[in-house]
Amino acid sequence: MALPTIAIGAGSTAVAITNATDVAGNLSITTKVTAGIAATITFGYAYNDIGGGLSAAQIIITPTNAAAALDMNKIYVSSTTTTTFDLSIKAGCAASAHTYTYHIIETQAGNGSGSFPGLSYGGVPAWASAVVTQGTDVAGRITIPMKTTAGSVTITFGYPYAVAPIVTFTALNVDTAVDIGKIWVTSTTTNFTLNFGAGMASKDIFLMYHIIETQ
Amino acid sequence: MALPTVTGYAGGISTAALTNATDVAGILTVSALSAAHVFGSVTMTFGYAYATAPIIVFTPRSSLTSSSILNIWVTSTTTTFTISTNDADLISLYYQIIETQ
Repeated sequence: MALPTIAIGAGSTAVAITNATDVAGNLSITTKVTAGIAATITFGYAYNDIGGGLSAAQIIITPTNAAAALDMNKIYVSSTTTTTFDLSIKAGCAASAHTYTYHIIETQAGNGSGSFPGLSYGGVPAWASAVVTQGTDVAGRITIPMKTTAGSVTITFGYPYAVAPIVTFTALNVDTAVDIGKIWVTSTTTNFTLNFGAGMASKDIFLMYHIIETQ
Repeated sequence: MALPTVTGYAGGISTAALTNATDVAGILTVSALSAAHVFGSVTMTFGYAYATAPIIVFTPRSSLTSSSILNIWVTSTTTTFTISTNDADLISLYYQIIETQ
């Protein structure tokens, strides 16, 4: 079985990948204080979607040490393709070893059949321009033109779950990383809601989400 | 089926609860750090052991947790996972677990 590999970028001085597959693994990145791509991970096998054309996978990262947690507003997934993803840092990261886990779920490029998630909005009507891309009831991406006032965007599942499922998300651009401390998620059996606190920058929020059923 | 349970505390945490929780996904709520503590952790033991320490991600499910997200991290062994924090606030998280090799 081909396993993923990691390459160092301009935003780090050392990188490593352990217990890693194309689905989950551990990352260690010694970051610089200057901005740049910290690491590029190349999958063992390319992701694709037979039904709807090529589609990049959805990636979630989480800190596993205090240094990584403290800089979660400066690290984000900056690029994804069917064969790689990049982790980038914003200027100001501590020059120290940051460790993370990652999860990867494949999704689809085209909504050829079945029911797919829909959108509704709370708080600020202008958020009605939010868009779900490559979105299924299991994983996808959401772009939301952000306002500085608090509000929410609700994504309704194509099919209901028996129990409110478990939802995670990760920043897919630097503006989302900067405001990561003002975003949280809740779920019901029929939808999940991204909530935004007041004071966020008026920038486009770009998130990847994963959903796993529970009981 | 054996389900995960809260089995240990360290530092300023003394109460935590799992909801709708399995060895694959669930909700974890952790009490705020008690006074005079700047660190705390809570350890959950899986219902069944993994062959290799599994890969865990989490996301905040409350405003308070989101504002504390720069001070929360996770580690795992084949039989447990631990959420650590050096922030005083109540924590409410969704977690997801994927096996690796």
